[in-house]
Amino acid sequence: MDHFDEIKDIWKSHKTERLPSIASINDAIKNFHSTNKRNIFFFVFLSVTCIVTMIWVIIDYQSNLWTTRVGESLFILIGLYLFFSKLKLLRRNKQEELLSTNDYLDNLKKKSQKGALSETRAILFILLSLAFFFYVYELLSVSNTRLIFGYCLLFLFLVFMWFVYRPLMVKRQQNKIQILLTKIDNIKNQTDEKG
Amino acid sequence: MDFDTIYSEFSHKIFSVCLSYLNDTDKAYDLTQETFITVWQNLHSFKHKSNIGTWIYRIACNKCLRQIENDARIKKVELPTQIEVIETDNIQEQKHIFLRNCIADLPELERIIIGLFLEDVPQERIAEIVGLSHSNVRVKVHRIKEKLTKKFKANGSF
Repeated sequence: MDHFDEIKDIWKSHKTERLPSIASINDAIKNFHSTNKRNIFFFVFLSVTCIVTMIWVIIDYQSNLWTTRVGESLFILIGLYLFFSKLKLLRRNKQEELLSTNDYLDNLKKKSQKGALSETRAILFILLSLAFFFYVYELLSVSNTRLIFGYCLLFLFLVFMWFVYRPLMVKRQQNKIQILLTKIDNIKNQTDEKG
Repeated sequence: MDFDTIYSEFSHKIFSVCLSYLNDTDKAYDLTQETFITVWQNLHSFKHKSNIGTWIYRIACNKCLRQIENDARIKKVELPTQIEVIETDNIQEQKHIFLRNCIADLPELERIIIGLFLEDVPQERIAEIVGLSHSNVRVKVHRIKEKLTKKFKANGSF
């Protein structure tokens, strides 16, 4: 008998009786399915409530200034974008797991690199800042002091968010992504090796 | 093939592949369950272009690889150093633990390949699952076999 056949026998000697029965795996699937549905329902419910409230505020506020309208429209656009992207994420059916190991790793690497750049988040932040700048103009334009003071505060807050908070978050995220990318490259090297 | 038949035919094999990669029984059970949830979710879209087994193993292997997103290293199971003094009933179990620890020392891809090989998946199919050439898989299997046999000999486990 070949030595490796003995190893194979040792491997096959392991008992797997504890594996769940088909009934319990079906229960797990049902449970998974209903949790998923419930999460989507709550998310849609909360988002629709927020958007309806925003629309109600817009109608009720009756602003005559175009700046307020632009601010409101930007808020709604950002809200809709976030709503649909989150919904897409919740409904995502891990299709990448059907790929071959090699393609799966390429896909994981591409997604991680995309996450590190976070261009979308930067654009959203700029749009949100603009929305705030437009939206508060009507409230602050009552007096010059209020206008200057209000915009200075808003500007300082955005500067803090952009130059202090954001780089900190990006650095933390990039460290994690870098570790993951190294691990992926390490496995990719194993596939590239000749034997 | 319906889901129930698939589960009864492949669950033990998938569990073994997960166990060879993770070296953790509980995690292997969890990953087996996750694999079959994904199988159930995507069964309607399975095109029968490839073998159903290849398709399921592929999902399981990718689930295993997803573990690299967690920082935890693959753990080693405690094993007494003197295998000879263990009761006869437990010898096979201890050898199994030793084998799992030897596999845990292998790089990620080799753990997947040997897990599939030990479950009698043909090398052509392993190549299809991991996305390597058949010759590359053949060489890798040969090397892994050598490594494991060497460790078993060094430990006096034969």
